[in-house]
Amino acid sequence: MRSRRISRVGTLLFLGVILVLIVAACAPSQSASPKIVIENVWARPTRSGMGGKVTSAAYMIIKNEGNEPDRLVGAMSDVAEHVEIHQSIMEGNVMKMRPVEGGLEIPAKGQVELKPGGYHVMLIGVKQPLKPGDRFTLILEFEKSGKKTLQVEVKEM
Amino acid sequence: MVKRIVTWLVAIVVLFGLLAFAYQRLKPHAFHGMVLQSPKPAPDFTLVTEGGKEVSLKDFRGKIVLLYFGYTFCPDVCPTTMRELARAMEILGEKKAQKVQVIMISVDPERDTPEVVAEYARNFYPTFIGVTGTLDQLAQVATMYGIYFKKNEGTAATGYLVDHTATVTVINQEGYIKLIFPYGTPAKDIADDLAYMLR
Ligand SMILES: [Cu+2]
Repeated sequence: MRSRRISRVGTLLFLGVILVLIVAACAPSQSASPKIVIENVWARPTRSGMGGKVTSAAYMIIKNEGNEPDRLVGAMSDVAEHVEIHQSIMEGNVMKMRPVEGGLEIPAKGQVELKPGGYHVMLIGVKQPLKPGDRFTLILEFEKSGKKTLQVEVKEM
Repeated sequence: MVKRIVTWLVAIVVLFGLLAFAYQRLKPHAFHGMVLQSPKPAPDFTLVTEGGKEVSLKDFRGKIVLLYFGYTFCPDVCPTTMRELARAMEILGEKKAQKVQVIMISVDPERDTPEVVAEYARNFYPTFIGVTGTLDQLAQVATMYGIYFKKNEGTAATGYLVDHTATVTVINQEGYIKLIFPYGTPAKDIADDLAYMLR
């Protein structure tokens, strides 16, 4: 009787230890981390007849399937002298374009859409004409997820 | 008997068709753009396009004129709007599009020469015209049309940027300001309103 109880307690203890071990083993993968997935990447063609530097804009949907927010902090591409993260802001009917200060937050389990009239990746000083059907490489840099290399398709809206 | 039923059915279908057609023609057009309740005469202006050629609003009396104030360095809002206007022309078809004149007015005369803005506009649709002027002239035209623009500090890479009203002003064939399209009006809505004005 007594020994049976002890063995029962032993079994419970054993199961408890196993449980703790399982939780401990799972903990690292459950710890907060972002998971960035980027879809629908495209860029606008350049036009002849651009005063100053030739510009374009790239658009996409940035999803974060992880459970911690991340930040898009920079971008680069061989096709342009400079690449910046910008936002077009509508105030009344007045459109203002500004660089995004401090990076663009991609919320955990959320997404941010870069689209005409809103957030965009601005290409400044595009070195050769971008025509519909062309493809080029764009590298996005995230605060936590690091660099992501994307293939961008040039197309008309 | 069967013949009679068929005759009746055909008659009913034809009648409904006629009613639907009449309704389409007679119902008031609901404009997609913002209608000016008391249309006012569009103030005339003269600006310059490529080759130093002067362009005045009054040159286009009898056509619908669409005015858009922007600048070619803008990678987002300006090309989006110009593209929608071009698509509206494609929807209207060449014949109706000939009765519409799109004029892009560059509010960035430092970067956009008349040659530059003319080529830029034409790039979107062959009949589009691009014009500009001195800063004083542009300020005057913008004020007449209730358009705001202002140079703003950018980054080292962009240099300055220009904040500007991003609407499209629609002037009818008689030279009255009729409609305002806010930013983001889809091409099919623009085409729909223009087709009605051209009916
Ligand atoms: Cu920008």
